[in-house]
Amino acid sequence: MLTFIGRRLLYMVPTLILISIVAFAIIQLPPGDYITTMIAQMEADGQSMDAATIEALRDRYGLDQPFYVQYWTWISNIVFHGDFGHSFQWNRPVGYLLGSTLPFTMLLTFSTLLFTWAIAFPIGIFSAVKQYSIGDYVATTIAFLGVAIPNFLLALALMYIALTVFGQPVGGLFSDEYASAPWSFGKFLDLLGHLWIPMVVLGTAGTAGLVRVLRANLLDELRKPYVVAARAHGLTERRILLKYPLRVAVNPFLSTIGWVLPALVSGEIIVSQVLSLPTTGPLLLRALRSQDMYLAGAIILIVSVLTVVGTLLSDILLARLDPRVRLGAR
Amino acid sequence: MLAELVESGELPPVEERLPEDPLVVEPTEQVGQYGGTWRTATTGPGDEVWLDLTIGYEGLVRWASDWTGAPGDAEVIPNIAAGYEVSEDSQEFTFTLREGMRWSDGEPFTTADIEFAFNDLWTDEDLASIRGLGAGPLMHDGELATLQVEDDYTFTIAFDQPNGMFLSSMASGGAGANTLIAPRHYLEEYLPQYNDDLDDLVESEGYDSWQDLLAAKFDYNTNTDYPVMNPWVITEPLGTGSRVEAERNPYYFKVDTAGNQLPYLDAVRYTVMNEPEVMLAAAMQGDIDMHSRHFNEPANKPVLAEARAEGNYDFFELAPGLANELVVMFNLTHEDDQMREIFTNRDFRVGLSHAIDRDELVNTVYQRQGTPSQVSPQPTSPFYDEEMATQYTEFDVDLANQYLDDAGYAERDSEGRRLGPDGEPITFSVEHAGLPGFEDALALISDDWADVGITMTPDPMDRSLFEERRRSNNFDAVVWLAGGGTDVTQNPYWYAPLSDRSDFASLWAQWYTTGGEDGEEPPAATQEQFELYDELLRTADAEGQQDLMEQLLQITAEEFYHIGTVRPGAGYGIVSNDFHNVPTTIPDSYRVKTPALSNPEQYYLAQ
Amino acid sequence: MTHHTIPEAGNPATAAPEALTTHEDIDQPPVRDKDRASQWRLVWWRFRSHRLAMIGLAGLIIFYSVALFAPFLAPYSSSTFDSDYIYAPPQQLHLVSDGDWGLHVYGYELEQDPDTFALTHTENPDDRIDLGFFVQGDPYTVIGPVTWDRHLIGPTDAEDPVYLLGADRLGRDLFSMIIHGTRISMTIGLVGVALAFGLGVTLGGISGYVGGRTDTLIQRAVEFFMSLPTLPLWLGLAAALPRDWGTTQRYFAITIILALVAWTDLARVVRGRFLSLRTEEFVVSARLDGARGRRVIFRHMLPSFSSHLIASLTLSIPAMILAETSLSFLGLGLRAPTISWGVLLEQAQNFRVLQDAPWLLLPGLAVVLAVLSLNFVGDGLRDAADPYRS
Repeated sequence: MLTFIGRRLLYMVPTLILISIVAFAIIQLPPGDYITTMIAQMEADGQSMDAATIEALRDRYGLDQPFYVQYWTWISNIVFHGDFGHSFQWNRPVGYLLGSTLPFTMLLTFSTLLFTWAIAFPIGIFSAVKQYSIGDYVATTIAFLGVAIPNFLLALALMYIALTVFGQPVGGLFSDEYASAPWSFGKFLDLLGHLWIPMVVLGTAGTAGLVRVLRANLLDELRKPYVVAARAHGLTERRILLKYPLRVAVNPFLSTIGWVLPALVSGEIIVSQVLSLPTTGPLLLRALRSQDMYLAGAIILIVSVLTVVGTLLSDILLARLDPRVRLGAR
Repeated sequence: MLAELVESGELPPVEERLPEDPLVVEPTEQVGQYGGTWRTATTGPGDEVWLDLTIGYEGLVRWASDWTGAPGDAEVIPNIAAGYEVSEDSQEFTFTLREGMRWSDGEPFTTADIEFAFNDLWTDEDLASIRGLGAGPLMHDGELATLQVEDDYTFTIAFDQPNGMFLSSMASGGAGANTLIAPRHYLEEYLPQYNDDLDDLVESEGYDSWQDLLAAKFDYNTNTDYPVMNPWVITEPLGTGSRVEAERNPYYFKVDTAGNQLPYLDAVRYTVMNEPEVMLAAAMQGDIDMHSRHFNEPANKPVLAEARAEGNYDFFELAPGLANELVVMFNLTHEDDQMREIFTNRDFRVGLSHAIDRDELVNTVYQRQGTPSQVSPQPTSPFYDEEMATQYTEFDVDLANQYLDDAGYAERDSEGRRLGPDGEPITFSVEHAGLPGFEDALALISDDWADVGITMTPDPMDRSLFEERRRSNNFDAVVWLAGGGTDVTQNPYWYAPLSDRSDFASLWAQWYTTGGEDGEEPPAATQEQFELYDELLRTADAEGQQDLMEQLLQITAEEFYHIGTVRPGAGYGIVSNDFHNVPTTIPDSYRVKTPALSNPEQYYLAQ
Repeated sequence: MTHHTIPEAGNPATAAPEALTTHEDIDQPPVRDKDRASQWRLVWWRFRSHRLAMIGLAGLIIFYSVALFAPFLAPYSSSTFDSDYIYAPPQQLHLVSDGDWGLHVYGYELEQDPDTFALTHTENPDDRIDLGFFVQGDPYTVIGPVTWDRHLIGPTDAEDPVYLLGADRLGRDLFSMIIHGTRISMTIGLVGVALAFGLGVTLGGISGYVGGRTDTLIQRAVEFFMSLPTLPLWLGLAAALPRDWGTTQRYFAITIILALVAWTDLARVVRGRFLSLRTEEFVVSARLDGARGRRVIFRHMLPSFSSHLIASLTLSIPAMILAETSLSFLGLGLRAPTISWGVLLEQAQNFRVLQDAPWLLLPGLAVVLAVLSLNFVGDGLRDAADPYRS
């Protein structure tokens, strides 16, 4: 097992290097650079910028350097100094911007995860145990509805309802009076009042997948001989269910848990954009659109690293559950 | 709010904070009350302009609030400068500063600051890349101005040639905004000529170069330590949270007619909202006190109108400043000879202009607001010419066909498409960056043109891609909003290819801006426009400017460079019913820094 | 935007019974075919018992029929508009009025508030518009040079406005637009999905079957592609593709390129399956019988979970429909003049529409129904493939 993990850790190095290069290349794929964005913004307001200034700006930001020079400056600063560079448009260190958005991203991610599980578990178990009952159909339909409604639409609609029915302020995670106040119980409640919309929107989208996995796995387990044997022994259905099948059926959850974070970080982009949440998603979207490359690069890199680490974690879990997988990897 | 600070001794009393001759601002309606927060919104980085327009607008001079866009300097009035004098030959401009005027940190503002700003910041070519710097208005006819300081409160800026546009560009938003306003005592530390240990500072602050450090420190949006002359000082900068907050500047140099120090409002708060739609929701709910950007599109007016009572706000009018909602600019200097031949054919353009059903555009795309028109000054402008505005705007398919036949493209293929010089059907694409209305309008225009045998494909693209292609002269035609509806003399590039914004003939513009080195020599009529505008820049009196500009516009009308569609009607902004001293109409133009023209320092909230 | 819709494999017991039958069949190919056919029939029987799946299947058939016959089913072409009907609400359908039989609607009078720009449409009882079936309307292309101008339903006079589901911001008929949009929305991602599916099965299969260095290599590739962020890639590609392609062409090309990235999920599942299967008795014995690698994979291993694969295929199509609408929201998806549900929903994303023209959300309903249908069918297929069901 240890050699397996060790080897996998070693493999991660070239993968990560490759990913960092590709990530950096992708953000430079669109024509133009941050200066182009600046010019476009100025012109939208009726201003213009002369050629000499443009030249000077490209020079200052190092945008006139060849790709490999820019890449090396970027990656060497990250690896050797832990410095993610400066964001052009925010005029601030990238690390600082990440520091102010990542906590909220984590908060949103984990509350969404809890919400999803809280809904998916009962539905999944219920529809497996009562397969093809009316309840099963209703539960599955509701779960699928969540996945079928486009996220941005649901977010907009909920925002509109919150606005017109409850008169709740829209956008952001805090009301005005708490925005820069220190943490207090009131602020926490205020946060919850804002958090429910993105949580529901993101959560409903993820629920259906989980329900389906849980239901399928549980169905498989419930028909195994040991369950039949247990039933023959006269154990109650509830005990049978909780004793083994459920545990086995939950394994796949654990083996994919490593991917949850990266999946949600990219999944929350649109929802957070619509709801103006101070999370990483809108930051990335804005950085990409304005070609703020160090900021975009850093976020992409972090998400990528999380994915690779997540894959490793899930493989380790899988290997623990099924030794044949480990053997196969050899 | 400030009284307590004075009491506790943290602030000197108001008499000591004000200059000896503070600027007296006439309130729009009445003398206001102190206190309250102006709640507004921003989309965050890239939207710094909204901060500039609402709190960062103090320059040496400013525009009078009853601005009309008349030629000359009559509408430029003193601001940070207590007064100015222009020499007979319009080459020397002498400004006097206010004695006892202070920066927001209490340090005095004198000609020492001006001298520093002039020599070490604005005219230093190495710093031109920093937002807000660059020679701008200090450059005239290719020569840099010279500065002469007479005493602590008097200085003169001199040019080699008469300069007819210096004062107006110093008053305008954009390149001239805040020119020469920089706190010497604060910034000296970040310049190598004043600080021998700058390298260490750059290192410890975590920057790559002193220019980067200076750029970060010089930015009043993100650096809360930066002393300003503005009515409010940013205390919570852009980037840290979900809002930007600014508090009153205790040393602000303006008072109302009753002698009360301005601003009335204690603070300005910008909530960061990524999407204009979210702002709209906030506005409908009454969470925004006064706003005239992002969401104030005609399409949103019905919903905003409906929520007026509930949100406790109403509309104010923005007098339109655009010359056109959508101008189709054919590439008259197309790289492809074939295309160029077609596009430079005036009859071709006139024919296509007649083929557009502008009334339908107004009804379908522009909420039934606006008037069919070519690119032209607004009727309120002294440069308005009805003939120029209305020529070839009549929707007449027969006339259009006749013009296109006369243009030499009478032959058609089996599908009715007109054939170009090479015997192939004429097809081209119109690129656009997806501004509101462009997509819908172009779909209709494309149908209209198909009816007269011309195939046009709208080509939407990302803003920065659009920018790249535009700059490399790599397109058939583009559409954009035409400026210069009211600020005609300052915004002439919609009427002649005078800058790289003139997409209809970028090579001719290049020829002009590089003094004939690059680009292509334009036809004689266009060259005459160049001469007229150069002359205008050297002409100081209003009549002379008016005359020259009219001649220039006459040539524009004759050349018919581009096809205009609809001249916009009045825009709107929203203002809370408790928020006062906002005029019922504000001219809408970046040049006059809307809404700064209406003096936000005298807005107040009824308590 | 995609979800992990495929249950994790790694449960060897699932394949056992099929394994036995397959094993016995090895030396008797003729019997085997018949046997497999009956296995498929078995799947169909099981599928039929899943009521939701049957509803889903019916839904799918309807959606793809609509896509096929769109120009005939829609009363108007996608470029027909009327500026007097901007944001017009759905017209009420009447059968009888004044004792006069026949389907008809009434035209609207338009008024605009000069101050608020708000539009009001009032029904004009004097402006009766008769509807008919197989009426003459906008001409359309049937196939190649063949054109026709009959429409299933529409106004008897083609110039008359009929807005059964209301009108959009340009005064186009939403009912027609949804029908026209079905074509692109239900098909544009299919090739991409198929490509991703093929790649996933092949590479995952090779990885799991061959193992060793090949496996390591493919797994690193999976890891790499999995970490590639889709959104930036999309932004970059949208700008980098040739300008002379239309928006639809460009979008299609991007779906293909993204398919090259999107095969990873399936590949991991297939690999897990193969790793478990290759030590199963039936595979081992097939190999001992001298069956070649490819034969073992395609004849023995893949069929043992082919239903799962089909299920996963039907489940990735909804993801593609949803992706289309989401990308339109970001302005990265299809653009007019292409008509798709995403393009139609783009104009529904503002408060004016939610308040004044909520019917513009109807394309969203089409998306929901299509996605639901596909999910139900996929779910039914997987249930049907479940070997333990009695």
